[in-house]
Amino acid sequence: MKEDIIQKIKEVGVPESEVENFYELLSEQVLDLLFEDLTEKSSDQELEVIEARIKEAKSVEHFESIIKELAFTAYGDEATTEIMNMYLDLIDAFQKNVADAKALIERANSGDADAKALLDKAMETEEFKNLSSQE
Amino acid sequence: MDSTNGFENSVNDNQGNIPTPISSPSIEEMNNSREQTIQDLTHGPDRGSFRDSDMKFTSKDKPDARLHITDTQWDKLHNEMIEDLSKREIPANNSQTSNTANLSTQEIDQNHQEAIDRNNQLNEGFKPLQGLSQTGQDFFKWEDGQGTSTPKIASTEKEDSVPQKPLVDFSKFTGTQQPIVEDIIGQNFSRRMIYPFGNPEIRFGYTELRNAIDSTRFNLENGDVYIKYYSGQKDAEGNPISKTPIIFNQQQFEAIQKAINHQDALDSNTKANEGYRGLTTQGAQGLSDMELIADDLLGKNFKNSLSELMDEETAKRYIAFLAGDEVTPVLEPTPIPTEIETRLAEIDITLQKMNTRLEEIEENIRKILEGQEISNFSQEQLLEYIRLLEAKDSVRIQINETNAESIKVVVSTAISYLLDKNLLTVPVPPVPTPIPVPPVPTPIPVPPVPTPIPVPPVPTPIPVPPVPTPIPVPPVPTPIPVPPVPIPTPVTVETDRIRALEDQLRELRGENTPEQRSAELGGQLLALETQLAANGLTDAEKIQYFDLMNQKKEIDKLINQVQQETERKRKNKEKWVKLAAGVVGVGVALATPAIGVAAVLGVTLGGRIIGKGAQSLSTKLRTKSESIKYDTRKGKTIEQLNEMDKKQKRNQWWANRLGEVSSVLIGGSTGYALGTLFEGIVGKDFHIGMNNHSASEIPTAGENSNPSNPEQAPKAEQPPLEQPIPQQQPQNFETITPQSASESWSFGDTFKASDFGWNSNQMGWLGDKVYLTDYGGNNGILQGNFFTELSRLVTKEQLMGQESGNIVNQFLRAAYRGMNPTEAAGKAAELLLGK
Repeated sequence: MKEDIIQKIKEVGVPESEVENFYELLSEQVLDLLFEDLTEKSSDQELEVIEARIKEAKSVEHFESIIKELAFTAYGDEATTEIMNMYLDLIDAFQKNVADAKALIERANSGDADAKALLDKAMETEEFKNLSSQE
Repeated sequence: MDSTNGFENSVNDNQGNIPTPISSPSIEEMNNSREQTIQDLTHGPDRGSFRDSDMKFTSKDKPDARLHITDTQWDKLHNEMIEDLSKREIPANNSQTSNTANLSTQEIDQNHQEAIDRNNQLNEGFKPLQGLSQTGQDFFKWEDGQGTSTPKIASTEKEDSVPQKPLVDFSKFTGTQQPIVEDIIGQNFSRRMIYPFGNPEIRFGYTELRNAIDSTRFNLENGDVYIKYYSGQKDAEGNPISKTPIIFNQQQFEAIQKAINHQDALDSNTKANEGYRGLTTQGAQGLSDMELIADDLLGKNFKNSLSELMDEETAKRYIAFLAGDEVTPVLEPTPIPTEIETRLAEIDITLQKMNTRLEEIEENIRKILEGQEISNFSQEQLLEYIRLLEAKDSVRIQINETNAESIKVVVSTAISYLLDKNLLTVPVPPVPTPIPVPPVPTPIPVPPVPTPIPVPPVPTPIPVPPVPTPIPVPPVPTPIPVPPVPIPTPVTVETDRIRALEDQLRELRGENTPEQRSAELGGQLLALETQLAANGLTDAEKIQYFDLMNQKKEIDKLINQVQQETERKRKNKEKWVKLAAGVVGVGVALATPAIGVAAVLGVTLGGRIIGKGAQSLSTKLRTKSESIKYDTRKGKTIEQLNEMDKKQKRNQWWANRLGEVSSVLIGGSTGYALGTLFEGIVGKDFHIGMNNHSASEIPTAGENSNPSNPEQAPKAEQPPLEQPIPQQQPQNFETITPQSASESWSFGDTFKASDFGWNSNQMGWLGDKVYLTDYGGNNGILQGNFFTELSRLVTKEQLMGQESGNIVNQFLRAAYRGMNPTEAAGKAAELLLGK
């Protein structure tokens, strides 16, 4: 599975050196999505039990087994497909972000005032300032 | 009246208590005797004489006159007193008496002088008494027809023979001998004086008078009131008079009662004020200053110098105003032109309509706000609320503008009127001085001066200075700039003012609170996010999103409601943006790398939509916990919308919580690759492109190599954690290698309960070894079905420990009792999975 996802990541243009990092990032996002879906199907009491189990996990392997249970709890027999699709959806979203951003820059380069204004506005954001300060 | 209740027979404790009557005929007799003695002293043949300080005879009217009695008289009085006290059962100071008897004349005089000195010391500061004024004398002129006759002492009169005539003529007491309130016995003495008649010379001891009224009051037939009062009155010889029967008429008695009540009030007030300090010097000065200020404001202090504060004319008018005789000039009523009336009427109608509309909007807003907080609004409600607020603002702006127009019409009319009446002068701005131009030899025809722009309301034409000539070659005649006549235009200012006031009103009414504004902005942002998920946003809309977001951030900072993004999510977002920006830079001409970051932030709304709503492939199974907020809300009831919002918030909260908890665990494991987390689920042999496979075709965790009844696998819809689940982990969990979901396992034909940490005795089994085939008979087959299914559903480690054994035992016995073994195993698995 991982190889396939890695391959897909490479296809969207992520540099080789960042592929593993991106895969990790996607995995964390998948885990977040799993939790979101789990909350939809579980009562507060059940979620409290889940939280306690995660907190008391004795090892990462134990944690993996718990997550595996949760995945099957949330998605049943189709957990495998669903997890895989989550990865793919995220990669698609990333690809779309990249395409949109490229298009925005190209429009700005070609003199589109709105595109330029949007770029300027994005540069005023707190997020941009934070990222710039990390360079 | 019962004579035994007479005040003269009472002992007053001088504390305001009711005197205790002492009833004894002998005392009465003794009193009479004593009074007789006094009478003898002052009026009898052996009466005392008045002497001055040198013991020379003098008139009783002299300031230093005092009554002098002989030794015989003194002895008689002394005996009288001893007898009196013994009758009253008050022990006499015999020792003193005997001592006094043994004292020499010189010692007696010395003691006497010491008493006088002490008395003088006590009386220090008291004003010497003056004779009764005419008022006092008139008041106490009793109706005996004589007025100045010798006072008749009625002390011996019986109560049943209440005198109908005046008894005391106070006018007899003049000079130093006027009535001084003082008990002749000395036991009922009171220093508290009251002045019932406003005359300081006619005074009474408060306690004595009150007691007298309480004890000896007698209402006469003619309405007068009779009392017996122990005053310090003295007769013409200066001898004290003991009890003094006095008759007051109704008016006088009312005055007395009023004075007593007043004293009561004063006493009460004094008591209430006990412990309170009086005004400080500064406080008193402050009050004085306030009075001065008040006088200033009333013009009292500037009656003759107001011109120092204002010009003379204004001062005159102000004084006239204070005096209340200012005349307001009356302007003649001017007929309002018809067209103006019509216009004003139209404006009124328009205003009425707008106000009606405004009321409708406000009513709708009120309905929405009824019974719930804005923070609890659903998206639909929030949007409706925002729409109504905007509509309200819009109508108000229209109302303001219409009002402004109305004001403009009225003001214009007023200005025209004032100009017509020459009551208003229009200031004319200075005309710039013409620049002197050197004369040109050849005169060039000067173009005609343009006609000044007529200003209708200005009655006086604005003088235009002569145009300097000649201007060298003016190709186009340049009109001299005539400054526009400054017509007062309060409209704009007034509109701004009205808006400012309305803003204030809104704030006062709580309609423009930061919380509400934040909620409004949140609603607008949500609407844009919804639109982005549905149809995408234009660049302008994205810019608007950023602007709104910034506004909301600022407000949220003010109200301390900034929703802090978790550090973990913020870092993930930044990683995503940086990676995407790096990819963007490939093949695109970037001015700087920062442009790539800005572009990604621009298209992802600052990274806020990263990972959100990305369900193009997984929508089939995934729940809508995240995308729910982008779902259409049309056609849903308010209750449904509320439920959606509540659920979404709750789900997000739990998702974040579980994410953070996991993050802590993963972060604590050095070198742990999260990417491996799902490998156990998906399986190493899973490939992209298998998505279309049905669930049953995809190998799942723990799937038995020979699955039976796959349809009985736990469904996602079944809440797996419905029952209380013990949270304690198996004690030996860490010693067992976790089974991968992809690794199937089975119990085999037999297994030992002890292999799983189960105590077969405790569970009531026949032995440790469990048969799962027909070798164990029918029960063996049943057990086989149960445990085979169980091994398919749960991992081996989940069965470890007595706790798991108990769960297994519970459902195995249910199978014995008739439940389908596969179904029983499923239920056991549910509990074990949730354990």
